[in-house]
Amino acid sequence: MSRSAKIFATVAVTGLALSACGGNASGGAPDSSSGGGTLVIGVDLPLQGASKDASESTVNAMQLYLDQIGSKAGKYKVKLKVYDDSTAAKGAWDDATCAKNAQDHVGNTEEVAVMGTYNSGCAQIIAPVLNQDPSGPMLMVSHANTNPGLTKAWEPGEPEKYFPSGSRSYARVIATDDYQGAAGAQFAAKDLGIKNCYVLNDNQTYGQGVGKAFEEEAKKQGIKVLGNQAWDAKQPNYTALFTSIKASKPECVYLAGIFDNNGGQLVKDKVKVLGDNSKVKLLAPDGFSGYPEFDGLAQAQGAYLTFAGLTATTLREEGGPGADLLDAYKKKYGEDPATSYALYGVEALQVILQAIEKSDGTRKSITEQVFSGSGISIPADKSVVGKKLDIDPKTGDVSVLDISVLQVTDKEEKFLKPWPVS
Amino acid sequence: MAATATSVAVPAAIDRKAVIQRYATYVILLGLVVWLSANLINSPSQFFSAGMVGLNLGMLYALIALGYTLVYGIIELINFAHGDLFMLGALFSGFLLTTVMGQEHSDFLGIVLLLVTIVGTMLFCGGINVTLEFVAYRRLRRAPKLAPLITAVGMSFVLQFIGLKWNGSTPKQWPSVLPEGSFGIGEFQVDYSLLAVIGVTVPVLLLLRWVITSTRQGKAMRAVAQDQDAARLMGVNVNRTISFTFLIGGALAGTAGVMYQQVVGTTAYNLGYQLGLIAFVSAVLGGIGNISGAVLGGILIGLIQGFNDGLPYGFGQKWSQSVVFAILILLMVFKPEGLLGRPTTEKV
Amino acid sequence: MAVDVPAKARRMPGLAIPHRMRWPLGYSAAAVLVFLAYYYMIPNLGPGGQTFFREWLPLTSVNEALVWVICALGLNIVVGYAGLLDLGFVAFWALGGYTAGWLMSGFFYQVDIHLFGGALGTAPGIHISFWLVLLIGAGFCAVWGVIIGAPTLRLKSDYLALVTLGFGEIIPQVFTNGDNVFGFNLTNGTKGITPVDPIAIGSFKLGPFDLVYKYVIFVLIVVVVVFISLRLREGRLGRAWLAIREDELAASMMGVPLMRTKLSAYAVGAVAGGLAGVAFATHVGGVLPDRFNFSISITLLAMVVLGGMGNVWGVMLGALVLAWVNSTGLPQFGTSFNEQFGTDINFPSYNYLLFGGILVLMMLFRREGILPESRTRLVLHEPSRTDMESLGADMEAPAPELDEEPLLKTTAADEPVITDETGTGTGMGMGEKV
Repeated sequence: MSRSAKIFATVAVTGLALSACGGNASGGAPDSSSGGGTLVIGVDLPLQGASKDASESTVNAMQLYLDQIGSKAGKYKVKLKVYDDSTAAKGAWDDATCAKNAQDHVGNTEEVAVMGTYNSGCAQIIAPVLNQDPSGPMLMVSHANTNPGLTKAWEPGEPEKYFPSGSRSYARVIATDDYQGAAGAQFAAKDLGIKNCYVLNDNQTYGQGVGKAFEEEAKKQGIKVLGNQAWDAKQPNYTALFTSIKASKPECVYLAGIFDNNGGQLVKDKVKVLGDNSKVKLLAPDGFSGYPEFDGLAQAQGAYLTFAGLTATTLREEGGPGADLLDAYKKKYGEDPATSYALYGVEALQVILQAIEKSDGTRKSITEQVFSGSGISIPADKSVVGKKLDIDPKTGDVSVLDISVLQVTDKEEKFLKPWPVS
Repeated sequence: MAATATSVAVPAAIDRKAVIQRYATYVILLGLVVWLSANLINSPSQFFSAGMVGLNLGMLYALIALGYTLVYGIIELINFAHGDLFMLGALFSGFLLTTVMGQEHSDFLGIVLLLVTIVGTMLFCGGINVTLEFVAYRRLRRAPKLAPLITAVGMSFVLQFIGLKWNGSTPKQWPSVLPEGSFGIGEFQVDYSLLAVIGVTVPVLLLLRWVITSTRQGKAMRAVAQDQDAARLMGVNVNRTISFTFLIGGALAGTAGVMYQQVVGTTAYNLGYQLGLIAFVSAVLGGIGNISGAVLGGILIGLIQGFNDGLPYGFGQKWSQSVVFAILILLMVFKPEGLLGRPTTEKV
Repeated sequence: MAVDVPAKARRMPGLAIPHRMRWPLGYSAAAVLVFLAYYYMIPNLGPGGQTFFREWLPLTSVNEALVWVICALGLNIVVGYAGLLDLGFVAFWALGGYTAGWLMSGFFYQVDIHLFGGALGTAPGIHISFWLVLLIGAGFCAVWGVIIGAPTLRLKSDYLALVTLGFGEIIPQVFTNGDNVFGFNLTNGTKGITPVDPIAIGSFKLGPFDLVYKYVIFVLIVVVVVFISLRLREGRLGRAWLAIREDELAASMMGVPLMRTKLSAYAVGAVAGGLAGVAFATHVGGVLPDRFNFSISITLLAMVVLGGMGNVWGVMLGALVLAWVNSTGLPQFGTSFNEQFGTDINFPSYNYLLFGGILVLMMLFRREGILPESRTRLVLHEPSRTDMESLGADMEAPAPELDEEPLLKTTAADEPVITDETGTGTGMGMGEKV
């Protein structure tokens, strides 16, 4: 009995705990052409950890908007289904969870499109799976992925490697890193008259991308980049880091990254070592925008932020759907959304809703609406960010919105001036 | 153990090994000196301020490292939960000083309330540490080493969970009651906060030293550390002594928590893991179980981090963590007993 | 329970399954059952049933759990067999993952190497067959296992934990910062390497929805690791590991070469970690450095401890349960609970409490795990040598480890270590105090 039988028996071991299991097996290609029925839009966001507040206010804003328009897109009833792509143990998005969600999006027969993700890394995992959906490709519209490679040639093989089926299925409503960084550098050179600058990045995809773009544009604008170093979000403080920067006597510091990555400490130590923000200017991209905790810091006063789209205050002044939404949000939750990404989330939802409206209700048709003909276009009087928005049907990229320059004063982000993108 | 066994059998081999190790140490030290001098010549003011930053960090590490070293000295347990205890101390400090007592500015009242907070946090953390010992480690004292070690790792996660629920998942900013600014000549500036840290740390250390060397309880601690059974036979209450050690260790973590919350001002639920590990490396560097060693190790590691992050020829902050752990590994290979520790052989 | 079943089996002549075969057969049956269920049954289930399985037991979760099983079995060899506490096991997972990232993607676009790979022949980069990459990853990790293990050899158990932890922190940091190694992009930094090629079997390529075939592949990898674990454990090396685990000094006196034995434990454990890394990279479709942090090492340890250190089946069970709870169980339970009671409790955030609590409670009340290995239980409950000696204990006492339960004096048939015919003559198996 012993050896050979044992080898034989051991073949295919596993899973007493899993006996009597099941699930959506291979393919199971769903057909969602139940015309006029309820269609589901998957919302894929990190609901644990540092991005929790941002994600929750995004979901709330989207749900609110959907309620406002009566949960309808053309003849279809629409509802949201929220997926969490993070785990608590990691406190951040998780690659395995993203892979699982990708399967779930495709497996859920009622689901026709995905809004998300927050993190570009997660999108890199999900986009190729949705693209290969046998009943699709399935549309994915992100409100926050700024990594250029997802839509345009950036690194080798990008973006084709994310679309194995050969046709595009990924779009986004946010301008990519390269615009943010470039606008920041142009503003620093032209308006602030800065001659040299130090770049710090948070060692994440977004931060590195923005930092790189800032550095390249700064050189063109005649700003000397004294260095581009990573800050480690896990470190207790950054006084030593700024001590090393101080030696190069910068006129400005550009924080390419997200406030969540211990940005508060970073700003405090910047002021502690280099002096306040009128002496050594502090610039940051929209990764620092929309955080009340950042705006409230004494050390953040005077900092300049760049941001694509309009701020909450300006939107309110201009009126329109954006203002309505913000007012309704404040009425319901007692405060403005925790992040500017909440409005982008609604913008992404608008794109998906228009695609559904034009389509016959199947995944394939919804995706085609975005990537054929003239694509999706949201007029300025409908768009919640207050400006006309076009999705380029060739790449899925957004027609670039103007970038606003903001300044933190009196614990609020004040609109300083618009910055045309060139 | 194995090393001892071979050392008896083949003395020649161990000699050669010792020589190699000695030269390796010289080479490493020489490299360090060259690196530091290059930095010093390149930019003396930067060297000075990086050193100050490092010293500031090092004091905090020393306070945390003492807790590790005390507990290890007495029951040979790496108390993984100690770093997280420190984190809870920082949260409690912010809760007590800012939320309960509402002090947000630097004035005389602020300093008084800070002292109250220190005492309160010391009691809080000491209490938790004693409870941990009573609930978990005491029952495992006779168990093989793997069991209490795994328990400590588990406890660390449980405490992190408390921190997660208390602090939230994002870092939290706190106001400081310490005076801001610095004094000094020209480029060579010393922060007032550093003085505050020294002003708290040094008396605490002297007190600790006095407790251990001169009091009855301290003698009992040393006796238990040497031989529990013999101490018991001599009439020492072993359980009470071990509880007392945990109390002191916890109180030190609490002090570190207050100082961290005040000097750095940002708390996060996973703070303890990071700082706890670094503090542990400090304890090992100084020679685990050795009180002066923990202080020395803490300050050295602080300086190394300060220099690495702040000097022109440093590796930069993104390698900070790796540098600290590389030191740990090198130390383990060449000098497991640490700088001030004596080589020990396991009792057989 | 583990004891009385073979007695029953003996009573029923038609069902003469030897004790040691029960677990392998049971698991094979379960694996086949799961395959059949996912392949035939569930696609034909009504929409309600499909939704239930998609929510509570999606095949992706099963596959992910299998990856955890592979890795936990590797850690079991290091911790459970050889008693070397490794707190940085995630390093091997990372190394395996990056092996797949490097050899199965277009990342190194400078070169153009194709070897039975799953990518189109025209794609640049290195595209090597998944099966070859498994072997390469295993070998690569074995080498690293020795490199990491070497400095720890002279250390006591708790120091050893620290050094492994140090490597577990350094290696992922190298991957995170490795986008500019003297100007060369080695790891693509935090962006990671995506996508990884699909698994190819001959000319047939597994698409992202061929999960059920991936399941079969992962089950086969588990089988290989289980087989290695069980065979080694019964052999010379395994008995040397157990001897070291129980009493290093006695083992070395009996002629067990400490150095070689410990290193081999690291190497073999690392092989499993590497296999898991490669499998995981194909499961996710990429490799990203964010994943490789300390909590993964702790989760793996919790799996080993929960299941029962040293017992392959226990560890497998522990890994399956915890992986499922982590990926699907807890979030899904939270959703259902909140819907049912109208609450808004964030259940996944209780993960920390759950895993920490498991470690603490298991150590306090059931140190041997849910499926105890009789030897582990004994070692974990026995006072250390010196303590026993100080109490005047007679170290030559009759071998108590043969008793599974104090009242049931039956020889444990799944404990072939001492009675095994190969145990004679070498002194290698003499670590036990018989």
